[in-house]
Amino acid sequence: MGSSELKRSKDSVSDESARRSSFPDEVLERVLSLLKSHRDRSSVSLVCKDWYNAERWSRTHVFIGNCYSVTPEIVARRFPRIRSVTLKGKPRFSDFNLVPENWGADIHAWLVVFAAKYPFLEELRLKRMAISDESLEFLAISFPNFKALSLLSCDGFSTNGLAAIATHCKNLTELDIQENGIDDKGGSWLSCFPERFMSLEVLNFANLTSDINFDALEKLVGRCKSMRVLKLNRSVSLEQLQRLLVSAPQLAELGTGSFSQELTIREYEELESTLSICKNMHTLSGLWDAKGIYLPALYPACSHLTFLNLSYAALQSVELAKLLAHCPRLKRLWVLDTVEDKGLEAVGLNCPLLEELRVFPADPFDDEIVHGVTEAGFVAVSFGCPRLHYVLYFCRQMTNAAVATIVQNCPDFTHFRLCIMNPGQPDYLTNEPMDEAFGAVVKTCTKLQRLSVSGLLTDLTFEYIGRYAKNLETLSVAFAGRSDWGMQCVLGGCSKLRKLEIRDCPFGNAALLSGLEKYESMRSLWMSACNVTMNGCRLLAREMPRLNVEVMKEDGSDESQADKVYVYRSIAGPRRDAPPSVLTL
Amino acid sequence: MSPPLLGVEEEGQGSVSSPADDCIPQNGLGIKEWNYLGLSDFSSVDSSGVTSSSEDSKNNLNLKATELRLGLPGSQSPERKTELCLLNSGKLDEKALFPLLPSKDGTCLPLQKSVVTGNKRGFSDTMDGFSEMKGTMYTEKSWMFHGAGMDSQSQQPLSHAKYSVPQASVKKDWPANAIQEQPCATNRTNLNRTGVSNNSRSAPAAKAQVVGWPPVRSFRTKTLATSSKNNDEVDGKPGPAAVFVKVSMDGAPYLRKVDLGMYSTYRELSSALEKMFSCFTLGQCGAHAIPGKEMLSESKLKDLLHGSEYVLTYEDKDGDWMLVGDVPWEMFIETCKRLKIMKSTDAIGLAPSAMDKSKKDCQT
Repeated sequence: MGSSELKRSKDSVSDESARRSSFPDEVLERVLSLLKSHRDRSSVSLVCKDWYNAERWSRTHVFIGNCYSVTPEIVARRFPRIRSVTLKGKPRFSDFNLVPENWGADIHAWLVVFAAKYPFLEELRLKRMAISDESLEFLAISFPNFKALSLLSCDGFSTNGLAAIATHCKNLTELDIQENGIDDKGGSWLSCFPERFMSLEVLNFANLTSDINFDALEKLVGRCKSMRVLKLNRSVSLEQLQRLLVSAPQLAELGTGSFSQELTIREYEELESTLSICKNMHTLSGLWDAKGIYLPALYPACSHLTFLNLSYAALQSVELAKLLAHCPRLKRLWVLDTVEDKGLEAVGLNCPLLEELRVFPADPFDDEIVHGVTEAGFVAVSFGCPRLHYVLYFCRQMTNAAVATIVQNCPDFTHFRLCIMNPGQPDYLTNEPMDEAFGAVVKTCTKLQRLSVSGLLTDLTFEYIGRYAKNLETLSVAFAGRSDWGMQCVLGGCSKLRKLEIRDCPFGNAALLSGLEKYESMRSLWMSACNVTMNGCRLLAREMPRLNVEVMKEDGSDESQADKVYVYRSIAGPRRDAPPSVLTL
Repeated sequence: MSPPLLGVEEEGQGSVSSPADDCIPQNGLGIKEWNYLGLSDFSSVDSSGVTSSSEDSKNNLNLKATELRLGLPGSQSPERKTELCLLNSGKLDEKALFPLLPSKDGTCLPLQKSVVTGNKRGFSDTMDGFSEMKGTMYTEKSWMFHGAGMDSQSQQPLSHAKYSVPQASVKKDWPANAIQEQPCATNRTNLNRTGVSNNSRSAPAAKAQVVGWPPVRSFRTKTLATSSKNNDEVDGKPGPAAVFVKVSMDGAPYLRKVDLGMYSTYRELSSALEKMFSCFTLGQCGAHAIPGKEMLSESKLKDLLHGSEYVLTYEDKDGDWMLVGDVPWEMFIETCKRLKIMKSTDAIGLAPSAMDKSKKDCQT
């Protein structure tokens, strides 16, 4: 349709029907099919009935942030043409063992509905879901076009399930197994890929521990010429890595295996020269047990690196500094705190384009070893990397002044996750609470979407958050606050809040109930080890029928205490698959 | 510049009590309100403990040096007092040798100063709260061993026990926190909830053991645990398996870990340790130090090590402490559980193949 025709058809239509869409449905659908962001799509669907319909018919990917907020039947009814599903299940604190086993989030019911309604399903991405081997086999058999499976932080399955996927999914392009509670029964699953199979583009089995059949892997990599992501597990040696790279120099993302084999000079040189051919590499990870002496082999491959994940390689500061000197384009860096402040200084010096930094603790539970990073390292990075906007930082000491400096240097933070590992620890220099630190963060970083607080915090922190963090969507709080007022400030002030997770804070029923209307605009609320009682929860459940209020009781706790509370909006009603330890109110 | 340690003493003399005093009321508030750590019950006890021992610390400069080696879980009052005696023999050099901060570059000076301030408070408080009050509490068996089904993250590389000193660590600054057992950061079992005094829980020590804190994914902790614990499990793969052991040094504020698999002779190990711990002698860490200074410190440490000021000892599988160097290297790697660089005066009584288990040397 030319624009002049459009105009004519518009003019010729009366005022009443002008409210109707002027475009034929197909055109509108075509236009809307180009929309990828699910939030944009949600907005589009609210415009009018026509647009709602056009949107639902044109949607091919659905993102469900909480698997219990909706049923698979409802999803299938609304969106008939889905090819790709992303589902998230358990509350985030299940990563830290705060959620009981068998809590739920089982994928099977979803798969059954999908098999009936979306036989052409191609992609499934799951996070914190429970998935069994039977479900994986069912998946592999039910969807002939199935292409991409991504499992992150899931549990309940074993390598047998992977074998089923490898055996049956003839069109598989992506198998991405990340950080799951997988029962590793051996590496034979990899041999299950058929001999003619060659479509794999993404293979990530870094999660697994057992040896795989290297011969099968080598042949597989040799066949799959489109492979761009290969992340090996620890059982793959340096020598084997070199052989793989020879057949896959086109790799864009590489996760090495163990980086510590004893190599002869010749073997080392071979590795180095093979790596130097990998000019497409923009992501490097793995490096398990990395030995400093072998890191230089990586240097030639690092020139275009944008993401370096060293979070499983306990490097020292010098080793990191030397490596970073070869990575000028780095945008994302994950390290262990073994690199210490000196290592972070090197980050500030060598990586001016850095946007994301994550520093993980090498020994989070071991107090004797008091190394790691301090506020000095963070400050050093902030001076050298003004584009920093995402940080996850585990440390054992921090000061208000340091954080103020950091956000002054880097005002564009969107994600600020600071974990001072000793709960309730004050500014170690002034002995004051860390209120002013987070106050500085929310005042300066107007784009802040995600915040995790730690250290000794009074209600003042939450006053600041409520007053200034107007774009905040996710807030994680632990061992903080003084009274209900703190939580009330957040609930009252953060208009865009979607996820609130709280543990071990003195917030009680008054705080919980102050957010009555707010919770429907949020995805979920988690409160554990706070002062909330069963009565408070019951009241909440009674007042807000469209919220699911679930309480997880702990053994031996007081009858009236609500140990762990999980509140989320849902159009599916209370769930029926909760285990006995979870009370749905 | 005077090493921070001396600074500690100065501060200790002048105003140990004040930071402590500052801490207490504030902490009193915070602790009492939270109460989930059961801290309120301690705060009053501790305040008295603090003030009284601050007097002691003023009188005995050498106490400060002692506190630096709080890294060891075995550092309880009996041992500490022993240390005191030894130190009292007037080894002022040691104080100069064990400043608390690793870095001495110009850029870090302000930081160093301020951290020093923190350290001072921390140590005096540590000393106070710890030896006086905690000493009594923790002398008995107060080790909380992980595993035993306490939580799913029991694969931590724990060959020793941990206990927690919640009150001390909440109140104190970094070094204290760092060095003492963290109440919540380390232990991860049952959570003591707000509003419930948890003193009645696991009897003496073992304060709040916290599930899921710090918030590190189980997958990650398991993976890192197995990587540092590779030791005895022979992978059957080419290349040496990593054998990580902890190394402590008398007077150093914290421990290090070394991979014995990286070395093939005692000499390599010893020179690596020299490098590693030379940063405790003149505040240098790693190769970033100015060469001249580093050499100075390394040689000084070498002198210390070779001039039999210090000896390298290790704890074997049976829990006995022995002098390093006697058995063949391969056997050493297999039996060594941890290393300690101790003063030769301490090591008297440790024959090369001694089965001696003098308490003061064997605290683990």
